[in-house]
Amino acid sequence: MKKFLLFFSGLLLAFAFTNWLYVLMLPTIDWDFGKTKEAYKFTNQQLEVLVLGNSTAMDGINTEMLSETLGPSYNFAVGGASLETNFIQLQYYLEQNALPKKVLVFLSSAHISYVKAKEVNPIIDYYYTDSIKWVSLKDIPLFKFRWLFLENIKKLLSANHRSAKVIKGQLSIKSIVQDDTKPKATTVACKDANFYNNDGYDYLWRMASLCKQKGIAIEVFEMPCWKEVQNDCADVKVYNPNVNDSLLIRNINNASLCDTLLNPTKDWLSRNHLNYYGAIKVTRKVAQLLAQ
Amino acid sequence: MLFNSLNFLYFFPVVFVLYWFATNKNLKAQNIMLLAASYYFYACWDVRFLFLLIFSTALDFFTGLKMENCNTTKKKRFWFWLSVIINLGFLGIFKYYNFFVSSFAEALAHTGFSINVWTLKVILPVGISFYTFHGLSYVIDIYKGKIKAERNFVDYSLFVSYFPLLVAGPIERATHLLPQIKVQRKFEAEKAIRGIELMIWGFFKKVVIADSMSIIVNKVYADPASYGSKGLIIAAVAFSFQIYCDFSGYSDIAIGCSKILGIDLLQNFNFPYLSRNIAEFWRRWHISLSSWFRDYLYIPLGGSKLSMILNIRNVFIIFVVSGIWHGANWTFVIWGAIHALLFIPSFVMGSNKKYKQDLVYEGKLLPSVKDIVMIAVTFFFVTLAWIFFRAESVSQAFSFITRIAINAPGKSLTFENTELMAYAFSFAALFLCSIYWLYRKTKLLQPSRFSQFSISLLLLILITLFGQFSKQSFIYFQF
Repeated sequence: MKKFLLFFSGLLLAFAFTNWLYVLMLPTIDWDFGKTKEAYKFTNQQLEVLVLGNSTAMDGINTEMLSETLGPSYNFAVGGASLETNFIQLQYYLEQNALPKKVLVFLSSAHISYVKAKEVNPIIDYYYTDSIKWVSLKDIPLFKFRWLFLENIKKLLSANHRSAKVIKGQLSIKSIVQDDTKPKATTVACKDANFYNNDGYDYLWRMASLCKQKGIAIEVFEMPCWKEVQNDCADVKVYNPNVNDSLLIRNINNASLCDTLLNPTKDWLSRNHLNYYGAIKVTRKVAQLLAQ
Repeated sequence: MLFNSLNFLYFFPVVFVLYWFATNKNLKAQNIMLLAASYYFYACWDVRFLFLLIFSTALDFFTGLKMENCNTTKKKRFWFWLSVIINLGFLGIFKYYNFFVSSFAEALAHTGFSINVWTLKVILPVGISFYTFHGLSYVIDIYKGKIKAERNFVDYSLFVSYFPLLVAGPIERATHLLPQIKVQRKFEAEKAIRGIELMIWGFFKKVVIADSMSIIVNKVYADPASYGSKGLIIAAVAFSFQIYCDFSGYSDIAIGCSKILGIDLLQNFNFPYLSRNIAEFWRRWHISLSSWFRDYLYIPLGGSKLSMILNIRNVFIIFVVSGIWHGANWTFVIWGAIHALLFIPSFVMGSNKKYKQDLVYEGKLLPSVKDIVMIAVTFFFVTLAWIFFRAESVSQAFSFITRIAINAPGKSLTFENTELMAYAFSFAALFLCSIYWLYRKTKLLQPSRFSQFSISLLLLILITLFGQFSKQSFIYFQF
């Protein structure tokens, strides 16, 4: 029995050790993990602009440029982040640091399906909700961060990804993937103001309330996508009676705007994700819109 | 309760502790505990059908005793047929009644008669085909005087309901399992370590390979008419791996956890996709079922000792019955018939008895080119037959094959880079670990403790990274 128990417990220990090693390595090899760790440790920072969003904002908003025009900025966006995730990040930052002047929230287009709420990014969950809780088997690091294993292998195999840098939270990649998609034959029915009061946008309103309470300006944008999911919709002014607040949602995914702004053969990193060159153009546009 | 569920992760360690630390001094208590655990395991699925299982167990136990105590052949025959009819009656009602009456009504409709048939709205009790066959083999063996009737109800019940094999086999024989139940088990560390290795290997095959393949297979089989030939070929091959890894994975987990409890179960798979012809395939695929049909159907029918025509008839019968055992659908009947048709040429030429050695490529590091070609051809035909096994209907299967044959245009399967990388990792591990197990079996490799440890650890890591944990049931539960 002793021999068997030794084998079995040894196996469990080695498995636990592998998990520990994995979680130890992730902040040094993974962009999302590394920047989340960095951002989590911010205390008494004097940032003037906070950028929140998911992977499209993480790649697509150049905070180095924003820092030159709008003041010290940091890109908090992480891959697969829901609005709830962004809310957790914002709340935590505001508790630990000096109040910024602006919070820029970058959403994926309302016309594509993406996670908006009810799912906290596991990396944010790991750092912001009392580290590893070990409450369920799902919290085993190799399981919880399983997608990062392949993401990082992919990174090892691609020279462009290996040379990518995270600067002020922005993931800057010069890799180019052409947007070969065609615009949809039929016009997209634009989402009306009511849409943003439902369908998982509640955490956007919670962010808005928090900013209002602290006297911070909040600006909301919808990030550009590939041609096939661009639309002809205008910006939407939304009023939410529940929180008695209104927001202007600026649509950078407007096809006419994208046509003048982006080069489909040079500015994309992957589907709906901008590369370094595309990010510069979109960031410049964002700065212009904010200056108006 | 599913092996690949969280419940089993709690259940098995509790059974282990109670079995080896609380009841190990007393065989009776140990067997009662194991029987209670087995009934709990089954009741987790559906408590109502537990009574059916207990009834079937009691029936075979008492008819076994009655047969042994009979002084006339007539009475013995009565008890024998009573047990067989009731056992097969339950199986027939729950599994085949709807199929037969609706097929009958359809056949009548073709002749111009229309009847309204009464169909049952019941779910199939999980494992009924397996425990019915356990019971039947026991009753037949007593009737033939091969074994004595068991006089201890708990021991007999445990033979039928032993949880590792209760719902999907291997189909055990009383001659093999009952003697192990009746003696005090001693903990053997080597056997238990091998059990752990087998369980991890089984989980890997199930949750990493089978459940990943099921995503592709289910997508294509939901609407095969919309897919082009490439997509259909990928789905057909994916299903070959899905069903093998699903069922052999289940068997490995069952055999592995039984080894930890000190009980050896019959081997159920022996590298079937390395078979060089269909006869060899059937000696390596679901071995406990094929040997059951051989011993209790094929040999009583006369086996291969009759005229060629009757011998061929016998081959056809066992393959078709084996097909219908899997499910009440014409697709399974055709699947069985295809295997019969593939088997008969080698049967007629006498080459079905080739490659009878227990281990594939005994003593060889690599198969010869001729072996590789024969393996590929056998795999091709087996995969072709699996299309009928998986299809919803016979017409769907024919359309599936036709679309491949005419290189039909249609949707193609697209994979993300990360998906392809996950498949590459999973299949590389499947391939390398299969070689490891094969070499271990053929004694080309003497496993060191280090290799046992590191391969188990590697598989555990791959299960965590690539496993699908959506509580997918095992395919053979439905049979």
